[in-house]
Order: sequence, then C-alpha cells, then structure tokens
Amino acid sequence: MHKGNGFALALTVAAMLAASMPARAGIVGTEHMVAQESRAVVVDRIEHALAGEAVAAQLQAWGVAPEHVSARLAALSDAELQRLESRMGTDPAGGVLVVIGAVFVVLIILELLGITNVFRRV
Amino acid sequence: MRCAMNTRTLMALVVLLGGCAAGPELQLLRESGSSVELADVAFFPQDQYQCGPAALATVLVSDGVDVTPQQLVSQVYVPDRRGSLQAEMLAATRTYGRVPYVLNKSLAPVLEALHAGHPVLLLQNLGLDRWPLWHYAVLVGYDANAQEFLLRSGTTHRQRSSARSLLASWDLAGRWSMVVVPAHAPPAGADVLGWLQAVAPFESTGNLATALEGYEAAVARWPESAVAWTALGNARYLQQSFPAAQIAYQNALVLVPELWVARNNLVRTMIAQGCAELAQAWVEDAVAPPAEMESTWRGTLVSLSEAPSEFCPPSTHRTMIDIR
Repeated sequence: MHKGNGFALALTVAAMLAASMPARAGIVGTEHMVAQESRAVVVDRIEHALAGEAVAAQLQAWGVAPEHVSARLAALSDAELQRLESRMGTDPAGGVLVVIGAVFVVLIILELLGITNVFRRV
Repeated sequence: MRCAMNTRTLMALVVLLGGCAAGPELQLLRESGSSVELADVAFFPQDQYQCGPAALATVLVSDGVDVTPQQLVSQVYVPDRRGSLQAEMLAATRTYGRVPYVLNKSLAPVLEALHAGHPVLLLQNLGLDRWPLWHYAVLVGYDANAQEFLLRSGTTHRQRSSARSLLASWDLAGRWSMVVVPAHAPPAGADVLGWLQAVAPFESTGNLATALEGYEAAVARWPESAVAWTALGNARYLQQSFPAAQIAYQNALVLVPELWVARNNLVRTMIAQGCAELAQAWVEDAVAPPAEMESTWRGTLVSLSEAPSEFCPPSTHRTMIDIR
C-alpha cells in the first residue's frame, strides 16, 4: 500500500468495481470497495465457487487432509481465494530450509562466474 | 535441527556474496540509534518444515491467543509444498479473531511495530531468486549500534542476524511481513486503506462482529477517512442497524460528496428503513454518476421508485456527527 494516493486509488477502484458488484443485501460491499486490483476480488458467485473448487482440489492434491480443506477454504477472503487460484503453484510456501549442499555450491559457482547475478541485482 | 544450521550458513553466504540490497534501510536502522528487544515473546521451535505454524503461533500467542503450532498445522501447513502459503497465514490469523496486518514494504513500519511491542512475522528467501528457499521467522528486536536483528527462527530461540543478511533475505522475499493485532487496535504506522483491507475479509468469512470492531477502530483513528466511514456503514447495514449505518454514510458524504459507493449505500439504507421520500433528497443532490457506477445506481433508483415511503424525520445532516 502506498500512502498518500491511497484515497484516490480507493475512489477509482470503488467506482470501477461497483458496476459488477453482486448486490450483497443491496449495498456495495467493503471488500470490493477497498480492493487494490480490479481482478483481486471474485465478483461472481459461480466464479467464486469455481475458484474454491480449484483451490480445494490443489490443497488436497498437495496432501492436506480432506477433512481440513473446507475449513481452510472458508477462512479465505475473496481476494485471497482469487490469488491462490491463479498463483498458488508459484506463491512462496515458507518452511523449506533443507539444502542439498552440492546444489548450493553450484549456485555459488554460477554466481561467482557471473553467469547469474542475483545477489547484486539491486 | 539441520534447519537452524543451514539458516546460519546461508545467511553467511548471502553476506559473503555482498547482499547490498538494502542500503537505505541499513542507513535508516543506523540512524534510528535505538534498540528494542521483546524478550517475553514465546518461542516455538519448528519441526521439520513447519516454520509457518511455529512463527504464526509465536505472534498469535504474543497477542494473547491460546494456541500451539501443532494446532495450526492443520490450518496452514501444506505437506507436499513443505511449507505454508502467505494467504493461509493471513486467513488462519482471522480464525482466531485477530487482524493480520501486512506492513508496508519498508523497514520503517517494521521498526515502528517492534517499538509498539508487536513481534513481526516475516517471510525470508534464504536461497536465490531463481532457487528460492522460503522461510518464516519472527523479528523480536534489533540493535541499531550492532546492526543486528533478533529473531525467533527455526530451532533458535534468540537468533542474532546481521542487519545486512536479514534485509537481503527479506528483500528477496518481496519484503513481506505482518503483525497480529486485535480488531480494536490498528498498529502504529498503519494506513487506513491497509487497515480496511485487513479487516474487510472478516465480513465475507462470517465474522461481522470483528469487522465492525475493526471499522469502529478505523473511524476513531482516521475520522477524516470517508472510505472508513463507508466501511463502517456497510457493516452496520449488514447488521441491520440502519439508523447507525445512515449516520456513517452521511459522515462519509460530508467528507467526500463524490464518493458514490457511500451515496448508493446511503440511499439503500433509507429504502431499507422505508424512507424513500427522504432518500429522494440524496438522489436529487447527486451529480451524474461515473460510468462504472451507472448500472448499480440505476438499480438503486428502480428500488427507490418501488419503495414505500413512511414518515421519516427529515435529515439535514451536512456536518460530521460524532458517533464513535
């Protein structure tokens, strides 16, 4: 979030989204109003259900116990669900710390030879 | 176990390779000249790949939630990814009635949060851009003079990490960090939109009471924010507290008359109360809506034309009403 232009952004986005909004009890909802990207929010019930199905199937395929999947889905906001649906394959999953030494040595050699320059990129 | 050792080795290598990704941040740290250590923050050593549950338990417990990493495994751990996804870290936090606030991608709000007593959960990439090794750890302090950060990480209770290597690993992870706070207390350094975005999901996940608490806190902290007032109005509307919703929307429109969401929702609120005649004034008052809002607005006008009009006290609300 960038400070300062936040309000202008909200106004624009609110207006942009309002048109396609599901009339949740007739009003334009807050999650839509404050969404940062126009596609950040699942605006359609069917789309929402499909995204849910896709995420559920992927979680299960990744070994999450079926009895936990629905509770985990229910905890996700529209924006999070949408993000997971499109990006969960590449999103970071914090936890892995085991390094095969050899792999890392190769990386360092590549780096030192200048084939990669990840560490100096900024 | 082997996790912790590898962490240290990797960080050392990152330093060796000259991780100079964070010059301005380092300077900020140096200039802050101060130090903090939240020594009371609990420590949960991680099992295997489960630094997600361990780190999340650390920040939840620190905010008074009674939970263990083992309980969080079924909520945030993804076995075949050997890790936890950020979206689920946020989602799980909400199931304990706490607001996960994602901090701005700079060091200043992180230091501010530590000074305010909040441990900061952060994502690190201990590998490379192309071959990432994602890890969650919890910042519990820093020492500006020593240029060091203090963490609960992996199996190390009090890990001291050079600022340079920690910032490099954080930078490679997109500078993602979050704090966990109760809904009535936006963290120091929060901005209004960030706070509303953090609170809004409570609505769609069925915890309206917590959302309401978060919006009340928002208008208390940012009374000049029309968007915050609108959000409060929405939650009150969903709770069917129509008169209170009406006041919130009107406050929003006093601040920003062209905030169409507020106007639309205000008219809806008046319709819901059977005050069509009163709503008419807010319709006549309006300039033409922006194109994107047209169909929503038309729908509202149709509802208005079909709505009953009972006697409602006239509303001449043109100044802010303090209802906090």
